[in-house]
Amino acid sequence: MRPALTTAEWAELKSRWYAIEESSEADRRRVLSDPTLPDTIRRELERMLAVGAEEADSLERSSRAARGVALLHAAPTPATSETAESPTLVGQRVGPFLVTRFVARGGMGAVYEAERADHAYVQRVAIKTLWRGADSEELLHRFRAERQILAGLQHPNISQLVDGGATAEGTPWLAMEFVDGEPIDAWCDARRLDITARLDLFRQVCAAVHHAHQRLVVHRDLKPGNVFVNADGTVKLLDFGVAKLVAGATVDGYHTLTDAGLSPLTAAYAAPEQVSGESVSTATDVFALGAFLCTLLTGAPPHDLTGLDSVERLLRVRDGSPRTPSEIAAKQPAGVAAARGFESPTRLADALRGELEAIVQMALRREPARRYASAEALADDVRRYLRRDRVLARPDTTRYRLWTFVRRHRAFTVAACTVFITLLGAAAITLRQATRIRSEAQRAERAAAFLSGMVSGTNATSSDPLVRLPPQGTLAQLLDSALLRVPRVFADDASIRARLYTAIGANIASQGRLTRARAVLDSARWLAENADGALSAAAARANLEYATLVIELDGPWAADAPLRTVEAWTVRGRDASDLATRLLLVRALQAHARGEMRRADSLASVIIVQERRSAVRSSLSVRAEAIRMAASSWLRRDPRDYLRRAREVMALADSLGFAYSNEQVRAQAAEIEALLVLGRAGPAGEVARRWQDNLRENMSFADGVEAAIAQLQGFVAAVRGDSAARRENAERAWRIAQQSPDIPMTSRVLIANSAIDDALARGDVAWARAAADSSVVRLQGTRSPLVLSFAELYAGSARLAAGDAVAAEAAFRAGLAQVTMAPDLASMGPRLRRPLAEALRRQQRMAEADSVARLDPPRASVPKCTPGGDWRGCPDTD
Amino acid sequence: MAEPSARGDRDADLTQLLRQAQDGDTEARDRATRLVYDTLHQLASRYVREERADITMQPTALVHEAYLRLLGQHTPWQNRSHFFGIAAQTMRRILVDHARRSTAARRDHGRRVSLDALHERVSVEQPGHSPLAVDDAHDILGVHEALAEMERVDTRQAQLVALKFFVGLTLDEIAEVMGISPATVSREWSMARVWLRQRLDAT
Repeated sequence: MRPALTTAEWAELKSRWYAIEESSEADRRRVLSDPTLPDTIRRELERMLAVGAEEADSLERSSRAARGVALLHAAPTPATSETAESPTLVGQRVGPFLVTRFVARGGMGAVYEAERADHAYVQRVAIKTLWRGADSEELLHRFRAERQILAGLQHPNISQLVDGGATAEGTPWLAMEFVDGEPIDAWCDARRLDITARLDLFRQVCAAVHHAHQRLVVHRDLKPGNVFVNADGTVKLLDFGVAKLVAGATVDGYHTLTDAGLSPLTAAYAAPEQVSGESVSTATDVFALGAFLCTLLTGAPPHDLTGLDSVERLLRVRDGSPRTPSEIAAKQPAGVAAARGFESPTRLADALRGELEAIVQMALRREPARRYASAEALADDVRRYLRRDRVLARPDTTRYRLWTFVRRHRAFTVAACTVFITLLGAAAITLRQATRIRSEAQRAERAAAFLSGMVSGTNATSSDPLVRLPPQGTLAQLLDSALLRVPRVFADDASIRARLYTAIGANIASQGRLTRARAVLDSARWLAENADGALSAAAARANLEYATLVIELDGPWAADAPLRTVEAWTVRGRDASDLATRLLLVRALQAHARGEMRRADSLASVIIVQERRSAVRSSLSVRAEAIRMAASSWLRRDPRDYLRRAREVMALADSLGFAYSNEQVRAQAAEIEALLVLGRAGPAGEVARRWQDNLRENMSFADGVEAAIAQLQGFVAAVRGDSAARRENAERAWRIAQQSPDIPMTSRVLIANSAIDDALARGDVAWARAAADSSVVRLQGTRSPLVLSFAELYAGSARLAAGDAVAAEAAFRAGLAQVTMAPDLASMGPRLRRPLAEALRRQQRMAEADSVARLDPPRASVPKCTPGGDWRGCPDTD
Repeated sequence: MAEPSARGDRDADLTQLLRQAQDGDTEARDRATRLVYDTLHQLASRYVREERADITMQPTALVHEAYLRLLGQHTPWQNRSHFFGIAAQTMRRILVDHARRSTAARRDHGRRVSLDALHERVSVEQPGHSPLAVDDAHDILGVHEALAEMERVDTRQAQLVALKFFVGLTLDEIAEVMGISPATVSREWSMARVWLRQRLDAT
């Protein structure tokens, strides 16, 4: 091995190489003979020059081949592929040892028997080689670091770690005290030990583990295969501390999934915190002891992982509930009960039920803090059982179990539990059934339809407030794991996948994780169109959800293509009644975003009429009313009308029992806005405060919600006259909007504008201008006149304040161009023209300024209590 | 803005995890890695099941698909670069593991011809599980080690090589992902590959 280059040498090597790479032979020779060139670099360069072009290409070939293989091995492979290593070390020297015999092949590598070759003294050891992801240098480093601790681990029931190193080929190895015996479960079964005898052995195991724990060594991989009983009946724990050495030696410490997590033998004894990569502690070993005890008693570990692949195993250990010992015992073959001295599985189950079961369950609790405090405490409780004392373990009460469940899925309300848990349960069951009856395509079809109905409600919309949305982590987790399962369970049926992606994507969208939802729904459209054809109900639904989402995320134009697909389907009128109504609604939303308020209003009216006729008022009505409310603020410009409509939307939502919906958020915002225009800041502040609490309580922690809360807080602060708090909140909302791609365009413009407003109010003109310019750039892609006219208005104002009248003029004119495209936005005209006239005046273009100013009547001349005028003090509907 | 409460969520958005990882949160990085691995793994199973034809080109497609799925198309480039960094590391890991196994198996097959060995060969070489050619396996291990050396002296160049060798991105894609010019990428790669080749030949 050559000495490694230093950073400086490497830099020099690079620059020299670039100098000679393309040059002539003579030049190369000159560079190489340069006396200032250090020898190390010259040698590197010479070797590099000797490499031919073809040879260098071979690297790309092996890279291609390698990546092909990587793909195959990223996929689940049968366990047989783990057996590549073989007993080649027999007869060789490993460190101070001579390998005498191949013993077994284990999860991490091979095991050999060896003895000291230097005859310094007689010592029989087991040599364990490690091939899996073990980087030998790193391993040795760790070994040296841990050696002191492991050397201190001396206990009659623990097989001691003796030495470690790497072979000439670089295979890392560890030497341990040789244990001649058999795994504890096999040993017990062979001797048909009864429950009492097994519990005695188990207490020895606990004592050994406790000894290690007191010396701060955690085993991490306790399982029957690591606990042997030797010829004289002594229990010996193998591999103490090894798991940590090996785990730390992987490329980046990332091992739960690829290494231990992959092996079914290990996973069955792993604690939930282990597979989710949380911190491992002595409580982790207590969990493993519980699982281990379960196996000793029943012949099987608490989690049945047979037939699962690595990801499923991981999910089961992380999220599943362990089976109870009696439940396992009852289902075991008669031989298992017989080996424990019982005449039938039922008898064995009866014997385990009660206190013994409570002990196992207590060790297996999900929360590390609720398990036995130590291995010793576990052993003590076993001893109490053996002496027929009352054990300390108590079975979890039903209430407790419910509580943990609710806590695990934090803010689910009961309603949410029913909807979501059922749907995932149903998904798993129905889908497995569906795969079994694959030939009967019709039934699979029905299963799929049933499922997507379950997930989003067949005739409900994506943001249907069937549920109070819980904090993101919980529901998001559920949805994400569903997303992970879909392609596995339905690998053979793209059509079902499309339906499920549609349903899941819509739910992710309603959580406010908009960009992620877009990716999912985009896959759904693509899949549905390929599997079912562009003219299909599945494709129409996927496209409808996608369109709803992108209107607010990317701009109204983005919905055009997907809506055309939906239209083509609904025009055929097959099985499309609810789709047709929903299409109307999305068209209304799109019209609103384009500033076509009249069109939005009339489309929404059609929905309301239709719903009235069918005597069912659903979420569609609420959404349609919300659109009419928004349109009215532009068309009628009467804050009293606006306020009345806002309250109607709220009342309608309440009457339908909605806890939370986007429409309610909008209606609440409208109420605040209308109250402000009416000069009633106090009540407006009150509404804001109430709503802010409501949001905090009910909504997910999506970026959009965080930003909305900040905005409301800023508003409340403004009403209170607390300018520092106002500023802080405006900036917070701004920062969130800057960082998050998940902010809908209308929120984005409102957030930007209030931050700009605030900066202008405190005289930070430079910041206001920069923010305004970046907001315009960011929103340009939406091509929405509604949003852009506002963005340009604020950009113009900020530039004007910064003294750049020319740039301000450009912004105001751009805003006016947007208004020209959308005549329903005409009331924006005066707001843009007034500052435009000012910008022209500052450029000394007085005549032009006057002609612009003449287009609108002076503000003072507009009569009070009419559109465009002053509404303060006008009688309102309150 | 990120509430501390979000840290307990194991499946938080990758975007957010990457953001935290960039701020030096190693736990977030681990979780991001796990998420990327899960996704690669899951996509790979699907590819294998569907038996798509051109197996050698797929890993790149695979990483791209994982990227789209996890981050969507409109992600800031810092996240892109971080994502591909993690993907490269993951692929590297899978490959090195496999190459080690495959060289070990071959060493064995060369020496011992017994029924056991034949069985093993069958299991290693079952259809769809083409083993690595000996040279390729050695190259992978060699590149892995040489790259570790390069990482110590030139992180950027090493990352570039990892993206090329282990993920199979094109030079243009690497330029985009790393935010450097295509000319630089091309220059650095051509030098790195000659250096790697001579280093491999020397061992």
